[in-house]
Amino acid sequence: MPERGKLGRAAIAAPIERLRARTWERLPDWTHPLIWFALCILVLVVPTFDDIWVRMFFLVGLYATLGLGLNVVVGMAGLLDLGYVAFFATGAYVVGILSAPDSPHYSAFFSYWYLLPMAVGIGALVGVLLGLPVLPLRGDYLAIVTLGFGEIIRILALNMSDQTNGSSGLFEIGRPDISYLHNLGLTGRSTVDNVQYFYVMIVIAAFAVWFVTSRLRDSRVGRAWEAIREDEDAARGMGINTTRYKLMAFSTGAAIGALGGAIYAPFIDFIAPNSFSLLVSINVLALVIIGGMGSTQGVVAGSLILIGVPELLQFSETADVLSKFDWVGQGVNQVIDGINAVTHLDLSTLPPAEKWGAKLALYRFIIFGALLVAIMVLRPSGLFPSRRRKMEFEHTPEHETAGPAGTA
Amino acid sequence: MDGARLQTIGLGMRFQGLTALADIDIDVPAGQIRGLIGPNGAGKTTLFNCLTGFYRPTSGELRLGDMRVDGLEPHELSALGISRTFQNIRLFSNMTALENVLVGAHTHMGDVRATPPAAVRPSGNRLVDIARALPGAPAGAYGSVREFVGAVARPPVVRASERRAVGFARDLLRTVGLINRENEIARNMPYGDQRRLEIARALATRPRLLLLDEPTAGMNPQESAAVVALIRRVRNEFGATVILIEHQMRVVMGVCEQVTVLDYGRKIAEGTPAEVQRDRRVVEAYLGTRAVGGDSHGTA
Ligand SMILES: Nc1ncnc2c1ncn2[C@@H]1O[C@H](COP(=O)(O)OP(=O)(O)OP(=O)(O)O)[C@@H](O)[C@H]1O
Ligand SMILES: [Mg+2]
Repeated sequence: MPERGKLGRAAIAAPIERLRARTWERLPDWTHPLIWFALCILVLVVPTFDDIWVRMFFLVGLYATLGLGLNVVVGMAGLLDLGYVAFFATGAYVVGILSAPDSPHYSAFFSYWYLLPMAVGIGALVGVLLGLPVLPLRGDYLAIVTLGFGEIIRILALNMSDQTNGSSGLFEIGRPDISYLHNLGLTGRSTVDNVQYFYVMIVIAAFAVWFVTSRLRDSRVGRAWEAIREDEDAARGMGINTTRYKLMAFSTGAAIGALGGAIYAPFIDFIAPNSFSLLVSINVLALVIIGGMGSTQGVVAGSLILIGVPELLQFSETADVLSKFDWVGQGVNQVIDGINAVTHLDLSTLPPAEKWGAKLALYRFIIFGALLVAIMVLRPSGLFPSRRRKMEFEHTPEHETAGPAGTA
Repeated sequence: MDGARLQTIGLGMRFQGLTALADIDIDVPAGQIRGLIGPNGAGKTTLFNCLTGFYRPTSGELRLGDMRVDGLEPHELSALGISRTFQNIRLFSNMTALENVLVGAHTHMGDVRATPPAAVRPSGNRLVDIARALPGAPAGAYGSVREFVGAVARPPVVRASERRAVGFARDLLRTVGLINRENEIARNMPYGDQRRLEIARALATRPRLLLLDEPTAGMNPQESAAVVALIRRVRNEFGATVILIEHQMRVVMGVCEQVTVLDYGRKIAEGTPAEVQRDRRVVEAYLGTRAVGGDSHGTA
């Protein structure tokens, strides 16, 4: 029966469509200030949380920073870069190589505050260098080659052991000295060496990056990037030097990636080639897509989910909360016992609630994966699609049959 | 903006075995509206691609005004004043109408700096000399960093240039009758509006030579008439030289002062529309494909 497949698909598609219709395709405008307000409050209260939470929020902030950087390359200029970790690693290694005591190039001369801009600058330079050979490539080809770059940097870090200590990595990376602020009585410590201080640092970095990228978006540069994303040939015809603007996009994204790396290295205190695997690139790209390409709230939401949820599922606090729901488990178990009694099924009952936390931690990536799939099914353009993409969604059905335009 | 004379001298374009253009000599005086006609596959679009740097001619010369310009990149030719529309509309489809036109204004905003060609120290390389004298931000890494800083810090000069560009873009949208649609996403606009938006975007580059590739394709007679009026206005107000690829004889007769006819990559006739229409070779070229005066034909 040929009808059957069709029916089956409709049976699945219809409820999904209904669900999609019910999720807000976009938040009403009045919620935007509220969201920003809530975010600011969250940012401000985080340092009062337990260290493990602050650590998580540091990582969220780090990935949001990286996401904003990658968004310049992928979201604005439309260059699919799967090797973003290369720049993150560059930043981390610039700081590591020059400030770890056991590094062959250790130099007491460089304080962290010299190394940070140096890392950003070298990152920008590496962005240009890696950008040059891929300039003529488009789409999938670009993605594959950049994927290679991510790996090349990792393997270089592994094999250039005279510079990087190879697989044994670099320890005790120099931490930011803030004795100046300390002497002014503004800070309680004279170096950034606990999670709260690093958290503050990454928040400042994220806001700076947000400011820079949103200014760029609304400028001649941002428009040139978008034009290249939309139609590279037409952009050239309109006077845009695509070579120059593509390199600018690569370089800007790379500098931001290196900034992230330069803050991550002293925070984690130990870097080795394995810290810079393909997974980092994929995570950053995923959070940009899940959040909604091109939108800042999207990047923040994406990193909260992508970094926050797997961590959340394994926290002892989560386990504690779950253990309070033993009554739910008992109720469910009674139902299961009942079913077992009247049927010949032998369904197993739920374990006691104290064990739920451990189970959750064990299966967290399954749950996480399901969540990601659900998000992309329900909101294919991401959680917070950028304004422009939302408009696309509002209008497309009307004009899909716009005739000759379709052949263009 | 003043029109510029365009000359091609023995221009040829070969693709592997196929000769798409051979020995094309065309001379369009400044400010003329020139028609370019010929059967399908005659090489009209290929000629536009050569004039705009999308294809690099395999032989011959290209002159704009008194400058030899073949071998330059599309963005350089655009900065020199050659602008075009595409046969199959190629707008920046996810950008608004206003943003599309602003992209067209790209070269002429921000750090505009046009060195008079005379002030450029000769490098011995014709193309390098031309590129150095182009308007736009300073070239190279220095120019890029400077533009980056300008975009982020937004000093008063950058703000002012942005304001001017928006004003200019709105003027152009008004000219083509799209001022009420400036915030619409290009891909959501009706077909005729997209064509006109493409013309506005091309005008934003301040062309001295405007190349229109079948601007009335797929339009009804009223829309075509509006585009004809627009083309005439563009020439009169902006002074640009215009070359128009067109299949509808009514449009060609209505607006073109001279017509060049291509067939199989060769120029087979040239003259006023009336002369060309009487030309035996032209009639022959069209016989078997379609009689001269045939109306609209499909797009793309
Ligand atoms: N990039 C290319 N590679 C190979 N052949 C090409 C290329 N571009 C154009 N041609 C060939 O050149 C010839 C002229 O094509 P062109 O598009 O210029 O015709 P046209 O006069 O614009 O026709 P139409 O009226 O259909 O638009 C065609 O035979 C086409 O196949
Ligand atoms: Mg054509």
